[in-house]
Amino acid sequence: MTAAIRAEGLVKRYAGVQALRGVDLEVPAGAVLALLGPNGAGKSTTVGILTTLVAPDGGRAEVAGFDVRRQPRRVRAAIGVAGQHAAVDGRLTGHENLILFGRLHRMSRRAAGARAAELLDRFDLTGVADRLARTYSGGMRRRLDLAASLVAHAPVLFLDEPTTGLDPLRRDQLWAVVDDFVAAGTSVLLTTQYLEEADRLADRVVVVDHGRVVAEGTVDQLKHRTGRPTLDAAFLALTAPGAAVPAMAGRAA
Amino acid sequence: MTTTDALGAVRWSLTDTLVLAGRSLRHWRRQPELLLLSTAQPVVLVLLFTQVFGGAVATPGMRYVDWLVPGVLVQVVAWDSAKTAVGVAEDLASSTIERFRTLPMSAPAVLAGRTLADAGRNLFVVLAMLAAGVLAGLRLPGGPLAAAGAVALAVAFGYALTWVFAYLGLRARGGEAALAAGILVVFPLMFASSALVPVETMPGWLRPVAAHQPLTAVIDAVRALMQGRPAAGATAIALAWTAGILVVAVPAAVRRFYRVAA
Ligand SMILES: Nc1ncnc2c1ncn2[C@@H]1O[C@H](COP(=O)(O)OP(=O)(O)OP(=O)(O)O)[C@@H](O)[C@H]1O
Ligand SMILES: [Mg+2]
Repeated sequence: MTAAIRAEGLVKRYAGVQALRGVDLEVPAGAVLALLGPNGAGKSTTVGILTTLVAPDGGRAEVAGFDVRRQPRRVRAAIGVAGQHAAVDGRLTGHENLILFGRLHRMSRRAAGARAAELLDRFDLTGVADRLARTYSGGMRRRLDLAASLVAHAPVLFLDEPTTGLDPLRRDQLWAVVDDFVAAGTSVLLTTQYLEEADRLADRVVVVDHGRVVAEGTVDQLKHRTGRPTLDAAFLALTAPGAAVPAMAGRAA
Repeated sequence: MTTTDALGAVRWSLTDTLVLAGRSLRHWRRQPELLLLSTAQPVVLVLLFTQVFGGAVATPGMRYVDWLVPGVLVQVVAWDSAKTAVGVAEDLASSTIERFRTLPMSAPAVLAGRTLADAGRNLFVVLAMLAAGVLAGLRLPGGPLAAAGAVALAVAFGYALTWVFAYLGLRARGGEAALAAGILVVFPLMFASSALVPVETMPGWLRPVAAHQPLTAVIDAVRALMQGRPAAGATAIALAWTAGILVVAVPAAVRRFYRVAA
């Protein structure tokens, strides 16, 4: 079985910034990978390349078996994306936003309507479905954005800091939604600042820092290798400036 | 790509375009006051200009109201088209376009949908102005068919301009900058034209420019059609401008779109 996501040696330069310096990662079909790293580490840039939004300067990547550079259309047909910043249309209602996404995913009007209702319910937005999205609170907008990424039942899901701004109840709800999708066979790459979230959702974790993978493995492996009892401590040990951990000789799984 | 694939792709592009045009229409439905205001403004212009300039401007062989209404009509079409730049720039700034780009949709449909919806708004505004013109005394001796042709010509020209402004909107940083750039392009075209006064009354250096710019071509054609004068030559020039602008602006905007979105 081919991997859901496979990236090799991704490089991205912005004017004056080396955002990625050769990132490798792999998400087997049906698995959940958490991408961890401090602010500016390169998480969103990696997601951007994998979702065809950012052109890499080097390296290659395949999503759902398609090359992100040569077959962007195919990739887009196979992915659902919720970016770090909610990008819903504030001048449409929540309901209209989801229908728009459904229609652009080439669903029939009726199917898009049914799917919208289902997702609004799932994300606790039914009560505000007919309000303009620009009147939503930050967390509501976030949930609408997440719902929009799930409209198409895409086999590969990208969630860039999906729970930022969600209250604990809604965060648990989102986790449950992700669980359901994973149970149905969806592969997920998510980024997060909450190690608890990585612990809860992910099979494997990749830690990036300054555009490089500094560690990868299961949550337990990371704790074990850093000799820190919690993922928080392990993470800090890995990414603190001048980290004392022997440079994570541990790219080996 | 097989023929069926190609046909399917065209069909989907059309569907995406219509879905996105529907999005713009919904925006207006949510803010009917915007559409109302952008219609009321030109109507007020028509009524004001006919009253204020009516006695002062001598127009060759034509009542001033018959001269003016086609002019203001095309001016307003150009002005209204500039709003496309704002819409495109705002979508870009709010990362809506980025979001669309993760979907398996036809990318240029983002532009095609908006320009189509803007042409719809343009038509609405033109019809309102025509009604105001008739109220102010405009006569249409050319008959309803020629008048319909004049409206179609004005809206088609406006549609071509929306692609120019789509391009500008993609170049600008944010809606405000896009509007400023739009005004800069549109104002000289609007006023250095035969819209308000005959070109012959302008200073010598301006006359050739005003006489040969696209707005004057379209205004002259619309005027001739409405007044039932021989219009074939003027219409041909106006259509040539419309086609020429489309041929340049559509590929430029689409190419720019792929660039900013990459
Ligand atoms: N469009 C851009 N232009 C210039 N620099 C950029 C751009 N996008 C990202 N960068 C830079 O690339 C680096 C990586 O950014 P990225 O957004 O991938 O980080 P991140 O890991 O997602 O951070 P955060 O946790 O804050 O979201 C940063 O130094 C950032 O400033
Ligand atoms: Mg980020």
